[in-house]
Amino acid sequence: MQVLYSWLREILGELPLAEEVANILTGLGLEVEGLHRQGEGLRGAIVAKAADVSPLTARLWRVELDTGSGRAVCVTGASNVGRGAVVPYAQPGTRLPDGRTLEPAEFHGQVSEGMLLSADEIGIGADHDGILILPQDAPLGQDLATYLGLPDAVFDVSLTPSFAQHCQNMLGVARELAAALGMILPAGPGRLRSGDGDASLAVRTDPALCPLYLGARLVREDERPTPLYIQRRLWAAGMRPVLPIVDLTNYVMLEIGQPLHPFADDRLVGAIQVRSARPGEQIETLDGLTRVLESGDIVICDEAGPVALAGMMGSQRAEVTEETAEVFLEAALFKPASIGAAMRRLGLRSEAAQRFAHGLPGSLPWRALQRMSELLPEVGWRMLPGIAVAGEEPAAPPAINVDPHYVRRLLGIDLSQEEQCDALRRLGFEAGGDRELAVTPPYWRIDVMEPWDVAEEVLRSVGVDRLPEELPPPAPRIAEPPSYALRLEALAALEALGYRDALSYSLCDPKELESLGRPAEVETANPLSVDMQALRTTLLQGLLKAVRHNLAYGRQEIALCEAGRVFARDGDAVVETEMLAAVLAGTRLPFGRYEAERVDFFSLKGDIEAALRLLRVGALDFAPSQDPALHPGRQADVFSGGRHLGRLGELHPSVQRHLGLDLPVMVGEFRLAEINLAQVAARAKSTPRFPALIRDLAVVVDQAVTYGRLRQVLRAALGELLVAETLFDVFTGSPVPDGKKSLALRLTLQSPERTLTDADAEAAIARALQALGEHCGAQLR
Amino acid sequence: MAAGSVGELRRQALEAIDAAMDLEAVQAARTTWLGRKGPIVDALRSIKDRPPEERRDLGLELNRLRDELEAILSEREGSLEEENLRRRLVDERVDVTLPGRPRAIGGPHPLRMAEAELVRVLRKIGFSIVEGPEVESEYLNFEALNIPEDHPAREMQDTFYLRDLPGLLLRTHTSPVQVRAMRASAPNPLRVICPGRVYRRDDDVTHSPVFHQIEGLAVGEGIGMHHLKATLYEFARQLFGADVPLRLRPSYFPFTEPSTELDVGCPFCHGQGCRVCKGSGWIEVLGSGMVHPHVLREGGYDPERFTGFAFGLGIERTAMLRYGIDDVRLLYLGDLRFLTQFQGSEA
Ligand SMILES: [Zn+2]
Repeated sequence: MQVLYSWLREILGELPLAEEVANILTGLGLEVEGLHRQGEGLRGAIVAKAADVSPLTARLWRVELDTGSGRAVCVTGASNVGRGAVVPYAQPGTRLPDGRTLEPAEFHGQVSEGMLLSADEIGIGADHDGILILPQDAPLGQDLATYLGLPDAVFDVSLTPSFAQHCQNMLGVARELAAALGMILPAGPGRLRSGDGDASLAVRTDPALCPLYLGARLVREDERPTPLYIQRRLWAAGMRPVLPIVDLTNYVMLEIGQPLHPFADDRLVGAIQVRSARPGEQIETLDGLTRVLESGDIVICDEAGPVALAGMMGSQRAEVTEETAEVFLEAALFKPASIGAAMRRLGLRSEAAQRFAHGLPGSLPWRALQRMSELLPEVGWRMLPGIAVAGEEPAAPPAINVDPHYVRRLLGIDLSQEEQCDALRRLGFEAGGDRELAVTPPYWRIDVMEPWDVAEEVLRSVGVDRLPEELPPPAPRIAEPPSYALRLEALAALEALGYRDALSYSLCDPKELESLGRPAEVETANPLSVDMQALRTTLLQGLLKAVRHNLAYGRQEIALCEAGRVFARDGDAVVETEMLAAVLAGTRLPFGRYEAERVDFFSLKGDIEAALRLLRVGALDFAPSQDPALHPGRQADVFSGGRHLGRLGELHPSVQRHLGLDLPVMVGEFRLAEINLAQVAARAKSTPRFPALIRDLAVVVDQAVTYGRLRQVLRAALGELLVAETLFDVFTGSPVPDGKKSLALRLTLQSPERTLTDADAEAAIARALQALGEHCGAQLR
Repeated sequence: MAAGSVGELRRQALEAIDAAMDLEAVQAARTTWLGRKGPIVDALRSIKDRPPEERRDLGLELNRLRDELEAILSEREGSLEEENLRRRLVDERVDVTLPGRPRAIGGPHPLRMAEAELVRVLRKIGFSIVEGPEVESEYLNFEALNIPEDHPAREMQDTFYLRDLPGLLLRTHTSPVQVRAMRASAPNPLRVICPGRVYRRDDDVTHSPVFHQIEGLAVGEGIGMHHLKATLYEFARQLFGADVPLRLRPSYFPFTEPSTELDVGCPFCHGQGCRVCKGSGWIEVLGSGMVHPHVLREGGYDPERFTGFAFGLGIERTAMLRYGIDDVRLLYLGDLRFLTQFQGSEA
């Protein structure tokens, strides 16, 4: 909300400097997010009168100006300057707020001594179609900035919902400021004193939707423009002056917070009724859109149908125009929830709707009519006596009883009962009582209902700076979930091995999940776009996207990891599983003097083995897996102690191509909960006391025999004598026969009880060879 | 051999040793002159053939010559070895400015770094971590937190709902975890923090539809707003330095009342006003307040007896402030040029 400094000063009389006011407002909870000065830098412009206006070309006019002390000639392209109009005149040498300095210029042979200014050029409004027309009584020759009271500060105030109810208007902001400055709160307009209801204005209302509806009849007696100060205030609020009577209703709304709606009286047919819209009922609103309504939306109808979407926008049918000489003016209360719901559904955030949606004080319509009746003469209109009244003004809520100990305890400030009462009175509350506080909010505070609301007001009134600082007493720690620490530890393990943590969105394009063979199970009902429609079923989608991004700018060394949740559906529930994933592509090292190894399946496998060791996971088993997204011959499930931890492999070449990746990518994804369960306790073993014997062994087996199988047989045959086996060569081709391969291993043999002899080693090798021959068809090479 | 010929022998030997220019030649000279077949050994061996009165002196002279030659040869060998080593060390000199054998290093995401820092500080103040689901019930995300259906605050948090899963949504804040934690602990005193991923239908330079928050909650008998203030100030001082200017100001959140926001003096301009703080000299870091009685009741605490405070902040925002990141979307691209800059520069 934009708040004009000069407006606040008019209401309150006197104010500190604008920066100080901004700080006070922020301290009150009315956060000033921005402060700018209208007309700052304007120097040299004066008030002048168009003594004569004559056309220069089809689009330019020559204006002879009376500057009070002399004459000047200006050329203007604006068509709204008539003879006798008082206008802002920037003489040569004038500096404008945008930094320009004016020099004489020539148009079609006519020298223009400076220019006439629009509101936009002065910096007070967005209107740059025409020249700003000043009141006739503006003193000719006076400095324009002085005349307009420039520069004038504008505060951009961010209104939280707690202030939207009572501070979405200047009077509300002024009251807060007055309380903070210890000034007397401005009273605002009283209730309109009206005679009995006017029988000729029959109005019916549905009290559930519209508890109070007032209708006043306004007549035009004279044609007068909207006063400049009102125009300026509308501009500052981001509204556009249109017609004096409409401007006035908007002005009263900005000033005291009650939206008002003027209907062209001659366009209304018969009696007014406020009711719920019928499903499918349509209305053409002022913005030219046809809106389809739902039951629960509130409409204002005459006997010919809806004439306004209540509290939000009028219809074209009863729109006030320049010809309108009689107006039916509505001042009402509408059910906040209905307005809020319609506002959200229709995307219609009109100034009126934003105020109704937060609720209004019950007496405000009466006060708004009073204020209108005061202002109408300024634009040549008058309010007829006799107000149509439908419904009833809601009763003021009862006083709130508050225990002063409660306030002291909640705030932690030692405030006596009297101090609490004083604090509340400063904000316009009535407060008193012996043992308990009896608190009655002022009429404009319908949001204060509970003891904690009262405590909050006390705090705001005394200021948060009054809060002492005291750390809370300690409380017992609760057991933390293992997931948090394990997630960080798992990432740290991969990071130590060269992987970079890359967070990605958990929302993604369902097609990408599909192409990875992990189709979406949960989707958002209202996605921002299709590429953020599905909840991820794998972390690989995001990581592969990051791989593509990095390849696109030419990076060839890619190692990324991520920990996060994936989402599956289980009936009417969603299951969240925490995963750890890694991707590896290109080379380990950047191009350079040292060899850059191309990564392959075994690069990632080695990393995963190392990472899982760092995470204290027990012995691992790898078994070929069948994941359609992965290379059929280069993928494996990873187990430990019978638990399936996850899977790794090389991306299937066609998936890789489909994802737009131009090199092989290794991927792995693991369940953190399973890793957690597969962790083994750290335990010391005794250091071997007897020396180990090393023996090398090379055997020839069928290609189909896996190393894993060979190792399994070897371990079974040698038992605890075999403390380590290291594969150091895999060889195919001559002299190894076709269809066969040679595997060379170095065995470490050791006994915990004695020193092994050569004979022991030979016997062990013989035993191993026999078992390998029997179970794997292996022959000594 | 006459005594005079020992002098001749010495002259010849010294001449030969002088002529030996390298270690090999010196070692050859040693073999020639001091070897078992050399002239000195030969002469010593033939002493017995000399007349007895000459034997003693000749023996002495020959031994003296042998010792002298031995000393000279050793000295020559030593200096030549030293010379050889010196030459080798020169030859083996490398260009130390050539690159080292590179190691691929990984590292944490700036967001995780920021989160770890926040968690570290809050744990130190006595809070324990709890976590909760990202897919949350509409009830716990809103109603339990005092945000009923028609509450204007629902507008502040544009929500992702789930297709075919009525009543479920992607949590818009980590606050439902607070309710879960309260329900698990009531009526015991509670000090928890809930870090986690949250979702809002928002996408621009400062808002990402997926982001992270951390929230803290303290519930117990006699918890007041002065406890909140001290906790937040302690937290901010640990995070931003003991001298950082701090400001608490009233605000609004539906789940707390009274509500406050904490501002810290802008670390970029030290309060002078800059682009980051929009000229105000202050940067908003967290929202907080006294837990609303409605929320306490939802958590299983009797609001007549118990009070509590809560606070929350965005981890993205903290990371952006701490590391000077200006576009939140950079955090989610996985761009290695971006990610590798938070740990010294890449080779
Ligand atoms: Zn700054």
